[in-house]
Order: sequence, then structure tokens, then C-alpha cells
Amino acid sequence: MKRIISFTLALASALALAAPAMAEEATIGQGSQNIEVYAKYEDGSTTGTVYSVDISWGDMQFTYAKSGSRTWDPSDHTYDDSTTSAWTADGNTITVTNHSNADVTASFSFAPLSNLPDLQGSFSIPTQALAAGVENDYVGADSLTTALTLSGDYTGSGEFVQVGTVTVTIQ
Amino acid sequence: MEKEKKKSIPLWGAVLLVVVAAIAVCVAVWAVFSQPARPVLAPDQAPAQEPAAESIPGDSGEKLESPEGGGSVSLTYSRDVTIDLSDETAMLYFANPGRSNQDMVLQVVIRDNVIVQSGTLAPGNQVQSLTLLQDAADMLSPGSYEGNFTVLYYDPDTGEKAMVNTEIPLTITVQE
Repeated sequence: MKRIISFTLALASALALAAPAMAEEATIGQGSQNIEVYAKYEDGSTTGTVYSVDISWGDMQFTYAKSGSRTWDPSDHTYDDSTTSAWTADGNTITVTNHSNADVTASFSFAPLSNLPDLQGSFSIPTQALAAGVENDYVGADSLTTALTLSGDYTGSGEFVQVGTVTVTIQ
Repeated sequence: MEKEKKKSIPLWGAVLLVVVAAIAVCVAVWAVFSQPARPVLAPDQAPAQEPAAESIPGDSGEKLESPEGGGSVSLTYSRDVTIDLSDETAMLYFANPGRSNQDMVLQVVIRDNVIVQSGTLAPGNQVQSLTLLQDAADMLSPGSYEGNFTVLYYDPDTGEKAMVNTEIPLTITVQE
């Protein structure tokens, strides 16, 4: 009986050891096998919006000049007024450049000081959209230049003093 | 001798006095707490440096060209601001890159109420967190608000405020 059991165990062990070699031989014997490999694209990255805007402005100095003459008329105690007045500007431009990766809109407004309610300001370009920056094209960034013009009477100081504020809104 | 009659306040008079006093107290309390928020005036001279400012990593510092007598600034920012009422802090991103030639002061404004005002941000500095102004948290409740950044520019040499400023619309989320 012991011999039968020993023989059975020995046979089983021999078969177990021989199995991998037999399997390998069998694979080689069947030739190469194609295994399909699958892939798909998932964009899990995020590209946040980065707003970056450059603004530059000139010295914003305006002169309200009056010329001509006023002649006294003694017959009716009035002046014959032939004067004219006009605003001239120096450094009245504002430039906005968009380096964002999103479009922006630049708008401009002028607010006179509260003691100069008759003073008004207007811009050659009151508002304009600026396109997002293009990758690898820094110098080609979209920009605009607008010019401020003042109107209205002014009888203030002979020196340059602040008469208002410009607000650049970037939307 | 006639006994002097003691003059005593009638009951209805006492009640009237108490009512009047109570109304006066109520009016005084209402007057104190119902006043609209006083606007925070932008300083004419640059204030002290913002303590929460930090250097912008890798900032080149190469200056923009500036028109004579004028100014040039570069702004980098996020349009989203989150306010935490528990610690009265605004989480935001705003940078004054080294390319600018002006100092800046940043305000966060909701419906004409300035709720945050930074100190001076010199070129090359950024902020990511600012403390709410005093009593600003009392005006806010959790939710979303439309507001804006107001950016004020100051000459770094003289400290004088420029005649140009900038407004940037924001979405402000307030949380407890």
C-alpha cells in the first residue's frame, strides 16, 4: 500500500514540475498572439483664468486758454466780448494692454472734482474689448490707446492742480 | 400752620415719563446702529506697507516704459474673492508686478461700502489674504455678492495719489 501511495505522489510531483515546460512548448508551438491595447484621453487638467493687464497714462495736464479781447462800451456800460476759450492737452492718452488668457473690456470715465461740476471729460475710445493673449506672442498682445478731452468753463488756478479723476474699468 | 402739601407725581405722569424715556433710548439705539456705513476715504498719500504683502516668486522686475510725467502699472489678479466671516478675512489674489512703476492700494468694495483696504503694495508684491475693515463683517451675511476691486496708484517717490485709478468687477462669496 505504501508503495502505491509513494508512487502516486512521485508521479504527481513529476507532472507538476513538467507542466510549465510543457505549457511553454505549447505556446511556442501556437505562434505569436495579438493582444489589443486600449487607450482613451481624459483631460483632467485645469487652466485657470489669469488676468493680467498693463495700464499706462501720460501726465494728464490740461490748459484752459482764453484769447481775444473785451472792449468796454461806455454808452451802455457793457463789454463787447470777442474772446474765445479752448482746452489744450498734454499727455492725455491712456493705453491698456491685455496679457490675460481671457478677453477683457476696458472702459474709461472722467469724474470732475465736486467743486467743478461744469467740467466734463470724454474719451476718443470710451470702451473697447481686448482679445485674450495668444500663446507665445507676448508683444502681439491686444491693446488700445484712448485720449481724454476736457470741455466746459474753468477759471481755476494758474498752476496745474487736480481737477478730476480718470477711472479705468477692466471687465 | 398749614401743613405743606407734598407734591407728588401722579401715576399717569410716571408712566408717561417711563414711556418717553424708553422711546428716547430706542431712538438713540436705532440712530447708532442704523446709520449707513461710512465710506472709507482713499488716502491722498500712500499708507504704510501692507503687512500681508509677500514677494512675487520669480518676478522679473523689468520696468514698463512710462510716458513722461505719467505712470505705468501692471495688474495681475483673480476676479474671485472669498470672505470668511469667522476670522474676518478676505481670501483673494492681487499682485503688483515688478514691472509697475507705481505703488498700489487695493480696496474691495460692495455697493459703495469699502470692506477691505490694503496698505501700500510696492511693485513686486502680492497679497492673498487681507483682513476686513472694522465692522465690515457686520454688513455681510453668507452668500454671493457682486463687488469690485478699486485700485489706487501712488507715486513711489512722493507718495502722491495718481489721477488715474482702476475698477475691476468681482464675484465675492461670503461664508461663515
